Amino acid sequence: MPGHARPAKLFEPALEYSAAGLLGAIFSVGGRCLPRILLGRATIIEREVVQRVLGFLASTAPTSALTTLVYGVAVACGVFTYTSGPDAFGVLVLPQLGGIFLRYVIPFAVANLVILKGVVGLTSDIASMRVSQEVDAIEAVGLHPAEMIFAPRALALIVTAPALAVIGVYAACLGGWLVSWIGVHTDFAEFVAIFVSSVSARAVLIVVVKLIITALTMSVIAGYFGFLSGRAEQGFVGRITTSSAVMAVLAAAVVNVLLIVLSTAFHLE
Amino acid sequence: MTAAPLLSVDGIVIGGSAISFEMRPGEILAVLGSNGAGKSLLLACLSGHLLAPTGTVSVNGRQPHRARCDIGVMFQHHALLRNMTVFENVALPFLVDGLVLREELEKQVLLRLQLVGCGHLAHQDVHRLSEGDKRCVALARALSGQPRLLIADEPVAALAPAKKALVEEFLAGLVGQNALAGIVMATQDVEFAGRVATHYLILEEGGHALVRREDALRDPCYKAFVSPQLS
Repeated sequence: MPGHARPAKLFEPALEYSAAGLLGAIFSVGGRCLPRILLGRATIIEREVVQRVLGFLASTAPTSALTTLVYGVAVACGVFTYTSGPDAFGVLVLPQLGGIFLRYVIPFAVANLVILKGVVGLTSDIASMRVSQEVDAIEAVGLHPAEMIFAPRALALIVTAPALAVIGVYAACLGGWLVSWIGVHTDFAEFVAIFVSSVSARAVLIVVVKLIITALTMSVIAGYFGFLSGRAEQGFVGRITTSSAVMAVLAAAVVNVLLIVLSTAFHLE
Repeated sequence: MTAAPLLSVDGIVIGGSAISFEMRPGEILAVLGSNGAGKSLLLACLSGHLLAPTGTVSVNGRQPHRARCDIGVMFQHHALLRNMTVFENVALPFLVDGLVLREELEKQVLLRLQLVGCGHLAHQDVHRLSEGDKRCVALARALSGQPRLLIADEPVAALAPAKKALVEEFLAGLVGQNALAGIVMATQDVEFAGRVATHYLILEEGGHALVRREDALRDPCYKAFVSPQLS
C-alpha cells in the first residue's frame, strides 16, 4: 500500500503571536499608557502610542470628513428621489436623517476607512518588519514586539475610530444639509436643529461602542496576519496584507451583524 | 578543571547532518560554509529565534529564548528599526526594564557607538546611513544589553577596510578583556575569520567539522579551506 510521505519537520519560531496574545498586548499597553503619561514616566512605547494616535487621526480626519460628506450627500439624494416630493422629504425624512446617518452611514464609512488605511497599514508594517528581521531584533533585546510595534498601532485605530465618527457626524450633517438646501431650501440652523434632535446620546454611544469593537477586532486580525510566521520571500508582504484586508472586511460585517442582533435583543436601539 | 560550557549544541540537524559542539568562555567560533549551507539558520537557533525540530541548544544552561539577556544578536540584514534614530536603536536593550532615558544611559549608548566608530551618527535617522554604518550600529546595539555571548551574522560584510580592522580589533578585544564570554559569528570572509576566531565550524554538504585554530593550521584539508592567511 503506497504510504503518504510525512512532511519534514520544520524549524519553528520560538515565539508565536496568537490572537489572544495580541488582544492581551492591547489591553496591557492601553491600561498602563494613560497613568504613565500622566505621571511623566512615559517610555518609548507610550510615546509611540501618542505619536501613532495623533498621526493616524491627522492622516484620516480629512479623508473621513470628505467620505462621510459624500456618503451624506449620496444617501440624502437617494432618499430624496424616493420621496413623493419636497414637502414629504421635509416632513417625513428630515426628522429621521440624523438617525439614518448615525446608524447606517457613519459606521460604514469609518469602518471602511479603518480597514483601508489602518488594517492595511498595520499588516504591511508588521509583515515588512518581520521580513527585515526588525521583529526578531526586538525579541532579541528582550522587548515584546506585540507591545512595542503592534499595540501602539492598534490603539491608534481603536482610539481614532470613535473620533472619526464624531467628525463624520458633522460632515454627514453638512452633506445632508446641502441636499436639503437644494431640494427644499432648508435653512442651515433649522436643518441642524432637526438633525440634532434625531440623534440621541444613546445612539451616539452605541455607534462609538460599535466602532471600538469593530476597530479592536480588525486590529487583532491585522496584527495576527502581520506576525504570521513566514520566512522572507518575494510577495510575502503583499500577499499577507491582501489576506488581512479581506478577512477584516468579512470580520467587520460579522461584528456589525452580531452587534445589531445584540442591541436589538437587549432593546438598545 | 574545565569551565562550564557557555554554549552547548546537541543534535541540531542542518543540511542532513546533526551538529553537536560545546563552546567555553574565551572562545570565538567562526561558522564557515558556502551560500545556503545553513549558517544563518544555525545562528537563528543559537539565538533562540527558531526552535529546531530535533536537538537542543543551551546558553549558560538555559534555552536561548529564555536567556535573552545573556545573548546579543547582530542580524544578517542589520534589522535596525527604521522609524528610530541611531541613538534610539542602540538604547533599545536598556528599555527592557522600562527605563526612561537619562544622562547615564546617554553616556552608555554614546560610548558603544564611539567604540564602533559611529559616535558622530547618534542622532541620524537609520535610513540615511550607509550599509557599512548600519552594520556597525547593529553591532553596537547587539552589545548594549551587556550580553555574555554575541551571535553575529556576517559582522564585517560591506565594511570598508579601515572599519573592518576597527571591528576586528574591537571584537577580539571584547573577548580578550572578558567583556564578552564568547562570540559565534557566521561569515564568508575567511581571512577575517582566520585572524579573529579560535575555532571554526565548517558546514559542508554531507557533514560538518569543528576545528581549533591550531589544528586548522596543521591540517592541509582545513588549511586550504580556511585559506592561506592562517599559515
